[in-house]
Amino acid sequence: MRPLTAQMRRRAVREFRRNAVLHLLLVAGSLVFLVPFAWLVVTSLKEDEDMSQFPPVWVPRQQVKVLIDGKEAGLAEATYAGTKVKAAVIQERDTGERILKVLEPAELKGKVFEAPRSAVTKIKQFAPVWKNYPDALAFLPPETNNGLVYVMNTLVLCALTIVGTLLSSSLVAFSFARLKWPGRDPLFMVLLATMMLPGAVTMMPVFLIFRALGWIDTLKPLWAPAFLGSAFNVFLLRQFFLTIPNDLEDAAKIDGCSYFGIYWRIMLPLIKPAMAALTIMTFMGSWNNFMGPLIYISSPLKMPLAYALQLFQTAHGGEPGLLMAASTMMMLPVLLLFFMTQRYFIQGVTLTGIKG
Amino acid sequence: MLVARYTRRTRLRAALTAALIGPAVLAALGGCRRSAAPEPVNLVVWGLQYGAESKGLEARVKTFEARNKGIKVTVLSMGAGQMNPQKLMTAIVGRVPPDVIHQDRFTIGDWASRDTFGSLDDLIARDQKQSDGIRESDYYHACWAEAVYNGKVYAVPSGTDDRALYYNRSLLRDAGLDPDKPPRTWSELREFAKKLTKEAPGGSFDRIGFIPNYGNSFLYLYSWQNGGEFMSPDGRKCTMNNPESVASLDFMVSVYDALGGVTRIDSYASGFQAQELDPFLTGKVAMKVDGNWVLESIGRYRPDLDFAVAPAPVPDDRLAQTEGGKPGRFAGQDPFLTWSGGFSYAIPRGAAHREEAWRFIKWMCSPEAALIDSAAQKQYCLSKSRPYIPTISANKRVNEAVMAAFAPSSERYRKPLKLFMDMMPYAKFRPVTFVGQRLWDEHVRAFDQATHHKETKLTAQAAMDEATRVVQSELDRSHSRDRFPLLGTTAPIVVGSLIVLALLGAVFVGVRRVRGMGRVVRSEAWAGYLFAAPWILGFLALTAGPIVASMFLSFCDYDVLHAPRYVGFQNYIDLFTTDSYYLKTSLYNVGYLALIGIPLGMATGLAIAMLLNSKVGGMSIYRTCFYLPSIVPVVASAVLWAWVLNGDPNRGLLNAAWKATLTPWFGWTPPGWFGAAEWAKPGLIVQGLWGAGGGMILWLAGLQGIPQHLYEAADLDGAGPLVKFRHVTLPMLSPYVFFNLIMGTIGALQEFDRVYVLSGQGAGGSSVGPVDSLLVPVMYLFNNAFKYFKMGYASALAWVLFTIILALTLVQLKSAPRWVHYEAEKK
Repeated sequence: MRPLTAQMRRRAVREFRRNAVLHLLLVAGSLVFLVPFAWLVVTSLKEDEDMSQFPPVWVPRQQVKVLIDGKEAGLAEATYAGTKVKAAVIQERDTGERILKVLEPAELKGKVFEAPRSAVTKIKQFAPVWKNYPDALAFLPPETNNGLVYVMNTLVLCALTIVGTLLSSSLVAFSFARLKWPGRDPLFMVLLATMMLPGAVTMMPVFLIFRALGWIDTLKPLWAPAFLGSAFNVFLLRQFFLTIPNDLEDAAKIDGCSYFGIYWRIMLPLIKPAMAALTIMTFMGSWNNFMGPLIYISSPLKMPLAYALQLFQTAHGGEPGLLMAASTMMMLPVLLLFFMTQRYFIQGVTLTGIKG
Repeated sequence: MLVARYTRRTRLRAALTAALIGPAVLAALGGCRRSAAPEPVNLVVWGLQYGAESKGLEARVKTFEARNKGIKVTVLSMGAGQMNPQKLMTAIVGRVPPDVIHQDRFTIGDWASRDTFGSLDDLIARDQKQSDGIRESDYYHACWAEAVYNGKVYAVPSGTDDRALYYNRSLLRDAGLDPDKPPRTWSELREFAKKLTKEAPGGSFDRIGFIPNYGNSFLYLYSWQNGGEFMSPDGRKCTMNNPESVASLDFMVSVYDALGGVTRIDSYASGFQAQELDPFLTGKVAMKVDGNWVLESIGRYRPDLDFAVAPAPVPDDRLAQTEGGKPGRFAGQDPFLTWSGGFSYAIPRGAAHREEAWRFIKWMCSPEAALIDSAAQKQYCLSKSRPYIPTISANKRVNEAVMAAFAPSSERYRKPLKLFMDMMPYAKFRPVTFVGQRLWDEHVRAFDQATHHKETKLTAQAAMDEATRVVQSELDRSHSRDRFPLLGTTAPIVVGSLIVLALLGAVFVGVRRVRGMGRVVRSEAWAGYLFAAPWILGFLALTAGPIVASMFLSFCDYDVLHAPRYVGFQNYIDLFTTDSYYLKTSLYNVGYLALIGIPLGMATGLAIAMLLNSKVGGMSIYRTCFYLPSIVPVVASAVLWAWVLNGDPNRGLLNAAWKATLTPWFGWTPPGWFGAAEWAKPGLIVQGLWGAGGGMILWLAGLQGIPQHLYEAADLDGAGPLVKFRHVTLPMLSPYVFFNLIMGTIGALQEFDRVYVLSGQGAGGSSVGPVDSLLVPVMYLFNNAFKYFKMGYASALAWVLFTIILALTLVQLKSAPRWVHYEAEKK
């Protein structure tokens, strides 16, 4: 028995080592992927003067405030008559000098002296600068109502695109998968071929079409095409429809159900998971849509978030705190949605790889 | 009987559905255009900036509204950003222009030449005698002339600015230089720059004396100082490569080289911040040539800064000949000059309220409005305890009135402001030409190419020759435009009717085949067509039709506002001859990104998937961590990475890590990423890898589909992990590799969003990344289509791109059987 236990123990040790190495690798990898997020959030909570530091400042901090004679003053370190003192900055001159009142050590307490800006070191402690968030919103043009207009535009855009995509793509996919009609298979090949066509080829004429319709500077060019189905989504749902056995359909036909009835009452409920995945993918797609608004939207009041963020970047590239606060706010809804719907999400991505 | 009833119901339902979600939506929406303008008139103004600091501007507009009941002014500030010319063009082309546009003056010629702005001559002449009329004599020549194109006035100048040398007196003193004797000549400037520069260990700087292109001077100012002009007086020839301008560029390059090269300086400059941390205010830059507006931020953020302003230094021989009385080409001229720019009000073509717009413009340019503005702004400044420093107007009467009432009380600001105003009569302005934007873009590109001579191997002369050639070909193209015939109606009609005939034929055949079927089958066929109708319609309207149209456009010269002209293969010829630089560069860049980015991305995705496929606990948490970055919106991700990859190790996270590890270990200095030509593309790839977790899910599905018995068999044969990976995992995953390769190639060749954001295109950037290192085909296409509105040329480019994508996809498809292993086929 003994040799066997030794072998088992060795195997257990080897297993443990293997797992430890794997966990180590996984944790290290996860960290690498998460660090930029952390940096984003930390930057959005830092003071401007902490932006440019080496080594980088990882903890958002601010100067400690104390009450001096009923007024709030910043705590700082400076040298007074050759001794290092802790003092409160009670006034800042236009010319840059600081006037300080000594707090510690006790024997110098209450002494007031002047020091140049460079000789005064602020005493700081952990304190996030939440102000960057309202400030970023306040920098948006007033007519956008603190950016609410952008959010509304984006939500309208997402909602209409999702409705359009779900309705049209499922209907078309049903037709391609479950109904027989002359020319169906060649048309399906055409559909597949359009997936290879670069958008650049049709971009200009499509612009001219929407211009002729008077749709420039409206959200319509961004969502209306969703109601006409997209090749990729049709393909995705068709693959799904194909997996449903014929028996159900035949039974429904015998019961006198119409084709629309089969689609609506039998098929749609069966592909709910795929529809859920498609919903999320479409949401992400239209939330992130950048080139569309770039081409079609000119008025600030009609811009969706993705484009507004880019505008904010060109205007505030020199103010990382504000910029990162704005980016965080734009990212947050997508991340939240992801956490809530992870399962469907990953399913959707896996679906796209179906061979066919 | 029964069947017949079903089919009727089916048809009815199907028809209803199709009608609901198909063409009806398009048609219904097309019908509800905006209704007539409601009372009061809503005057839409673009290009003015409302914000916390614009109390004066707001007061001007409010007073206008109070005095003109019935007009409501809507100031749209383009989302806090600058006016993006592409947006304005789209709005005008799309027939939804603003009523008034506050536009950078130097582009007026460009806009006027395309018939996008209307001439104001009739309005100016009509109101000439009225007290609020606009009169040329009130304006500085440089300002007024900049708004005139082909003898017609297209805009009324508003604010103006000019440039001079700012220098930090205490830094001069520290370096042993006399703070009362700023540099006056170019060689003094270079000497001062060297003496004032302080290097930091590790290849960076603690301070730079002077950066020729930092602040606001550009090659234009240096070139004028040396007597160079960019355009011939008649506006038909580009003369950018004249010896004087080339010598100026040489001078700029020499300053960069004297301080250690443009890449090092750019990497230092990428850490510059704005406002109170502005490098001149913090002493990181000792001298700069910049505009009068800098006075305001000095007053606001550094009232203690010991600074002074002097005319921008000029070539040595200029000063010797003008002041020293030596003979030469500058004899008899003024020693110093400046460059003036600024804004102006124009009325776009098709504006809904021209009369109200004109009233608004006259008010905004009046001395009275300026006084109201100054009073409000001064009050605001006082409330923030900062000095009020007036801006300069293009209207001399406005300046007199404002200076009489609101000149700064402190000598510190009054003296520099006076210098700026006194320099105005010696101001030069950029040539008024329809290629103004192109001239600007190309001159920036030439500067970029010449300063990066280490990478480009180009002399100033060669860079300027190239820029001149590009602008000249643009001029020639435009001047020979009438040579080409208007696109006849015959060709489109013939092709159009052929297509319609073919479609009718297809429908006819289809109908006949359906007719010949049994009832049940027939009803199914009808339902099939109806259900597929939305896509078929979409395909015809948004894909097939546009493909044909795009084909036509690619043989035309078409700017949307004028009728298309048939130019034959000219667009394609231009693409491969005169503009081959762009085509080559963009294809090289996209090839680089694809060849390195796609394999790296796939390898990262697969590596993560293999890690995640091992059986240890907490998988779902790890999976979330790796997947998260891939769902971050592209724009947000680009914004974040521009920050993470900031070239300055004090600011960029990655370079901070680099400086803490690789620099001490191997002595490698941190790269400049998006600020350096050779690092911009690797930067983009690194950013792309962050999102590689997105592909991981697919790889995971593939890995889990590999039958376990294959590995067991390999184990029995004594195969190690590497052998197993090479001979089991990879072949079994080959369909996934194939899928990723095809989709990756198609995606990579259409790279756009990230590049647009990372290269700062929205801010009007000319070159896409340093030395065009991020110029990708779709970026070039987008700029031509929606910035220059050269639809025909852009279409030709699209077809070239399509051909390349098609060829690559076909090659991949052809090669697939050799290495892609499908389990199903073997069975």
